[in-house]
Amino acid sequence: MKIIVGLLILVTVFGVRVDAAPQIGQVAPDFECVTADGQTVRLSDYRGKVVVLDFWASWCGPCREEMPFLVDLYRENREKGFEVLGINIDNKKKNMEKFLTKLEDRPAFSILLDNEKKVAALYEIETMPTTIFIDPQGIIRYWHHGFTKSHKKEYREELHLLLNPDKRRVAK
Amino acid sequence: MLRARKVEDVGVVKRGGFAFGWVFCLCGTVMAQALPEDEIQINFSNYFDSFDVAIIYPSVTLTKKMSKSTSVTGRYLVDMVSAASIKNAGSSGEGEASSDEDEEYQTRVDAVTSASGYGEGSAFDDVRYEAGLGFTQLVGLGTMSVNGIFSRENDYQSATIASSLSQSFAKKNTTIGVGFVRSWDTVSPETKDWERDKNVTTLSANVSQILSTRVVAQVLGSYTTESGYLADAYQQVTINGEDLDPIHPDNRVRKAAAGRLKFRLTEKSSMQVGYRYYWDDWDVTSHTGSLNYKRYLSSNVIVGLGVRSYLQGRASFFKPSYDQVETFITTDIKLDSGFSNELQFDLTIHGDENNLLGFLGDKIQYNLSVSLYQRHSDTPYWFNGSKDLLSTDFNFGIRYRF
Amino acid sequence: MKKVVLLMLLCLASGCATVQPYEREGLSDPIMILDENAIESGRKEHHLDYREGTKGATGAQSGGCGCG
Repeated sequence: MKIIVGLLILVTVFGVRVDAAPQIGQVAPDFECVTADGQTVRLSDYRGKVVVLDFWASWCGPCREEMPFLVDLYRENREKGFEVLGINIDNKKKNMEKFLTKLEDRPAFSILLDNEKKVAALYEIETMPTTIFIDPQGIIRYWHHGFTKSHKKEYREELHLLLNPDKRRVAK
Repeated sequence: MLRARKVEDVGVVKRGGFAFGWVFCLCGTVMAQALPEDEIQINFSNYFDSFDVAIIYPSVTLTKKMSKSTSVTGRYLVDMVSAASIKNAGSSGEGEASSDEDEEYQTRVDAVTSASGYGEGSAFDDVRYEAGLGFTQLVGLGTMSVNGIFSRENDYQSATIASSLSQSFAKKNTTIGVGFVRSWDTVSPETKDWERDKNVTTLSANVSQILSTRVVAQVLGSYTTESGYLADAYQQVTINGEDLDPIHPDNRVRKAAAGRLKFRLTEKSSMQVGYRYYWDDWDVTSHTGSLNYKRYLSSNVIVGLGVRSYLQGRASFFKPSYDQVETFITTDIKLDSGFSNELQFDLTIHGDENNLLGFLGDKIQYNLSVSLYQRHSDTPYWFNGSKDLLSTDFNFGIRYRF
Repeated sequence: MKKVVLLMLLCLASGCATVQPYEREGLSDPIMILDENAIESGRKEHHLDYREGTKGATGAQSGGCGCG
């Protein structure tokens, strides 16, 4: 029985996440990535704007559900200093392209190709999709794991707060 | 002398068991540490065997997220059973029912089926209705579910409640799940004037482990206790020319342990191997081995081929024949030694805007499965004297995710 | 013997190889999910349970795609 209890503790310890990942309130780690259009961009290029990092893949159901919403959210707010970086981690670009082609509206924001998962590893992504809100000063303000329809309202509210700093309250 | 028996004698579908099967699959869905997708699934299933039993059972299942952490599933199913050999008083087996008593029995069965709306000339001898409702709740990295199923037919009623918990570890590489199922069944055979209870409780556990980007493994175990009336009242044990009701123990403890390994062969194909060992306190043991191969024929079409082999040992009190009444007597061939083999074929087609089947977009999926099954028991089946059963099972399903 | 087996299982469970959620493209494929159609799996098991005298230790689990 002691062995069993000890091993269960071991399992639990191994299962506990070591918090080396970026945290809310910290500066979002900078990175460089190639877009689907072949351009090279850095996260720091977007300092001064509210940025959403969306880690997604074509094989991920909730990611496919989230993408059309982000397309609409970007279209409604891009003029207000809002940017979305869709960081795709598909092994093959053609799978990503096939999914984007089927969308009613193709994203107007940049799609970054991270098929080597370097950016995903930098941010220690634990769920697909992971959606991170970064304020104009480059500080991580909100971090979302997964996506369901109920997230839409949260995203709109959080974006509104970030775009209107005088109404911002401390992130949860 | 052969006496006409009720459809259930052939033991193809016994009611409480189906509820159990569905409950388990719901628990399994839960254990994927994510809410099930919103979907409606309609299945039209058919079963035919060499004992002249035919079953048609349509079903519909609806799953819907109520919030970001809660999902609800509802299901409704109807079993419609037809048994030509029973209707013809066992003409396919040894002897024929010719006595006035058998004719009276046949009439009584017809009278009962008439009462339930399926009388003489009807296509079906028995109908079972089943409805279920379940809830799935995300709790942190874990999942909890509770499901209830109610099943009813003329001579059998079953109420089942099932719950399960699962928890993920190590970035969801490991998932541990536990389950609990409790059934309260009431057996009221039409040929008897009594009603008996049967209670089943099952504890289960499983551990799933991602071994690499190409391999997943799972170990499972279950522990079941049954109590109450555990025999089949429609079966008869003939001893020295006298037909007697079977006598089974009032309790049974059943255990099983299994392992499954699924690995990717190529970019377009995978293989799953599985093994299960079963044992119980009636001394029945079994070994089950399976192989399942799946392959993409195109980006929208998946074909599957599976084989399954099964070997079973005999219960301690089962005898091909009895010279005298003993503490326990039975003719249930499910307690006899024997083996079975099954060949399965599956076809899954995902809707696509480029084909006619995708008129509802890429959210629709069509499933077709056919299985050919052969079972051999070491003792001839008392009803028709055959040691071998051949059957085919066919299912067509539509699955729409919304 | 039981403790040895349990020890092995728990060592297995402790994550001898950790696959990151973003590395699970292959595992999220429908052909890699242990019971991609749980209802179909349950239906098949039901037939087998009542043509044969044994049952249990069947379930559905998958490593999943790490999706939330």
